[in-house]
Amino acid sequence: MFKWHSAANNPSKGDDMFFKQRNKKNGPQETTTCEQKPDEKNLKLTTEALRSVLGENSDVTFKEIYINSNKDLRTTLLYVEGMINTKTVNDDILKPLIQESKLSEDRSLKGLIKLIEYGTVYHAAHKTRTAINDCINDVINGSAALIFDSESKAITFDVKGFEKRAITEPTSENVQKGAKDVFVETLRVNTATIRRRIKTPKLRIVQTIVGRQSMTAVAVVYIDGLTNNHLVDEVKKRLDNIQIDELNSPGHIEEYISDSRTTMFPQIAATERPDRFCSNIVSGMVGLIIDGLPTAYIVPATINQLMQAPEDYAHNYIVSSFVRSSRYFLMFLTLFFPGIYISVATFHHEMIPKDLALSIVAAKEGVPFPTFIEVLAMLFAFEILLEAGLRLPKTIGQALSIVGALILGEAAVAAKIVSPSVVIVVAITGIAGFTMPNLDFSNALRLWRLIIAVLSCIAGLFGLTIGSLILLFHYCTLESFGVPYLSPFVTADGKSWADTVFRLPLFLHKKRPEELHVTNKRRQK
Amino acid sequence: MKKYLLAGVLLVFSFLMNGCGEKTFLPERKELVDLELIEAVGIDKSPDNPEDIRVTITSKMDKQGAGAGRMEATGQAAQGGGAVVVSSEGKTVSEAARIFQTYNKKQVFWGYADFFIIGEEAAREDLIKYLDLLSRGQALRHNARIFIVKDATAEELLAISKTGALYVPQLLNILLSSTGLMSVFGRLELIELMGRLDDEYSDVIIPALRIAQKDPIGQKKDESDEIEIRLEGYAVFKDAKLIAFADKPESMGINFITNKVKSGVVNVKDSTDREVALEIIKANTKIIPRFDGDTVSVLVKAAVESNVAEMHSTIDIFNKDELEKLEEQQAAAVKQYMETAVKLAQINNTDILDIADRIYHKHPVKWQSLKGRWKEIFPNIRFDFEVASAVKRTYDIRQPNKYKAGEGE
Repeated sequence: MFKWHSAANNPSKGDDMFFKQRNKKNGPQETTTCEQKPDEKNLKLTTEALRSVLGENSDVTFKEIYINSNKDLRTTLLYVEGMINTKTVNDDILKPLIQESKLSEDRSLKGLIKLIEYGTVYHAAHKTRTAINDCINDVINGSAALIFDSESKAITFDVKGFEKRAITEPTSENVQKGAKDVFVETLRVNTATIRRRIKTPKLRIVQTIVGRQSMTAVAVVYIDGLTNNHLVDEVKKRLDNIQIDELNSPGHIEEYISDSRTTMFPQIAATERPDRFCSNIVSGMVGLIIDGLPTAYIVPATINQLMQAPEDYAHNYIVSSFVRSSRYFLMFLTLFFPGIYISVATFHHEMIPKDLALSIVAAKEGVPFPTFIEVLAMLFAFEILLEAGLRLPKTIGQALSIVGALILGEAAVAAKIVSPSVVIVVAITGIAGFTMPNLDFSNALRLWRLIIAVLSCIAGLFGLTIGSLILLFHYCTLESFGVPYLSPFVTADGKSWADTVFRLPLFLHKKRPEELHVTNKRRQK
Repeated sequence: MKKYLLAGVLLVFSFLMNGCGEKTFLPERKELVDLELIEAVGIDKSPDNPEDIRVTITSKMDKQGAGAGRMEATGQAAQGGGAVVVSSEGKTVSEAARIFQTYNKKQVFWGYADFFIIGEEAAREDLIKYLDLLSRGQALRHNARIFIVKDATAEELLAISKTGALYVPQLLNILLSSTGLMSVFGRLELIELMGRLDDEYSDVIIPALRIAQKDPIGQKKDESDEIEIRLEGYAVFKDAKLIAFADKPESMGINFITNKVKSGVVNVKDSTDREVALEIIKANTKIIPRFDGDTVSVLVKAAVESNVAEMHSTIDIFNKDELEKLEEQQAAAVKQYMETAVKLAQINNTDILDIADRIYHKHPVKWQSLKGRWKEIFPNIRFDFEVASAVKRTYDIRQPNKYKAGEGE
């Protein structure tokens, strides 16, 4: 029922070999988006009919109007209170309807509708609706409708006027240098933000509705003639296949359009920064904006992309390369450090330098637990602190970090419950994990860190190696929208390596990422 | 699905084959605190039973004095000392090493043993016998340093740690780090020694240590009974048996010929017959085997550069004549060092100077005819010495205090 609201001239024959078959269980879906009474579709567009559908709502207003005070020319104004801007309705719709004498010159409603359509009521965004559902949708989305019963027609005016959050500074993806705007919960504001950054007429923002009850608008953003058409089609296909009640939380979209459901790693990248979103769109990726969510999504996601921070392009390339490469190092550190510590402290003692071993022994003296229990307990304690910090109101958050981390840690060490070296290891691990630019990615690393630590407890470096091989194997099996998760590291040609572990100077980024198979490969001369 | 099954099976396997049981291919889990991290191993002939081997281990005592029980067991009391020194005996080194486990509170961990010290008596008997476990054992470090104790047993040397004044492994580390200053000493790693022992034609030298009374110079007499450890040149081996010790000049000569000199001081006299100390900054030696028919002779070509480090007279020695005199004396001194070293080697008929190796590398074909008779040839080889000596410079101050131009010239 809800068609793609754009003349996207993409070949709709998706290359099925290119993408993994998914949603097999769901099969072809019926296209109804909201549960409707069987006869509702066939209802004529009249005030009575609309009243039967929406009339019980206390926030829906029906108001009968005589055009130009002429009793014969009647229309009904329909809107949802709070969703519209009352001043606009008064000044730009009601006022001309009442005052514009030209409207009563033509005595028929047909002529009147034509006059309104061609601008006698001066409002830019209006649509003429003949189907009742279209009309209802418009009204629910913040339009005011003028219903002409005898013609079974309605003209809807987009007069949205609900409260929306202002564009503030980013909260999780902060930068010192560079743009400081952020996506907000309102789809139209976000699409406008993107349009302001990518002004090419080929930018496509096409919309669909997801969620049978919530009926949330989701916009797919790409650049026509640049983005891989198969990718765009696949994204649209997967969105169409989502058959859920509501789309109010990021999981509702992430879980339904991701390739693999057995992985912890994010397969679409979330961002709250329009600049990052746009630069990915221009690179040939496809963006998703969801009404009601202040994060936008970029598909496909690769490890390389998840490891990039927006600030990487703001600083000198040598500095950025250093930061980027150390971020990769920290990824390994946060994954393996507890495991390595357990391994060398309980299995491969000869790997620790002698003096360090002696100081570890000195610190460990009197601690009743074996090293691996200490490490696992501390890792768990760290998770507790993280979770508690998230749940607490911001004002108490400070207290938590002081009581939880400082006092408790200090006391635990002083009481010889954990050894200071373990506290150091876990602290370094935790802090290293915070440097990951993507939250979902760092969460996945947190869990894998635990798995690897457990394996290290069992068999030392042998277990650690098994763990890392399983992880590597897992990475290799992952694909995001037909793009290998490890690309471009898995490609042998090294063409897209200019922007990976090191960020080479921008003039070397001549081509768009190879793995995206974009239509227009070259991004600069 | 297969891949997850595989991953799951791997996981389950690793859980089942955990490191707690006795029979497992996985390494056993040991806490660092439960290990006796020994840093030095001493090996001696048993004083009571000459057939047996006595092994002594040293480790730092942990803070809590957890070693107390162990001390009782061995009948040795640690008198406030910071070290654990324990001995055990057995027919073989491995037996003795295992015996520790029967009374030691902690499990002996050999991975940190950086020093293997062998008593003189044991070294005189047979090095191979005492060394085999050290080189074979997979838990031991092949880069550990080897020492021979002169006039004492390794146990006596390691027991110095017990007094608490010195911790032998730590002291050895410090001493080794400054070997370059005098070049009368060397360092030898186990792996290097193993290689050299396999060489049929050369013999080995191992750095030697000596337990000495504290130097009475500058000390009151009652303090002088404190003991210390001194670096004492090299122990010279023949067929893996200790036969002699090289004294300071001989050791320096050995270092010069084997090109191991990093620095050192050569004392010479200026024209007023007062001392000038020359500090060696560069030394390079080449051994050139020469053949005259079947007779082989060796030319030792040394180049020594030094700085004037100290002078006792007040004259200007930085002129051509003076410097030449200094250089000559320096050359003579270096030559003498090398001669004593050669003498030592030839008298004992031990090729500790690696001459055989040089001949083999320079003249591999001629070596084939020589090698059978090498033991007979070596004591009679003629050694020629050529020393290119240079005094390069001094530091910021050229003239000494009280220097008057023209005086003494």
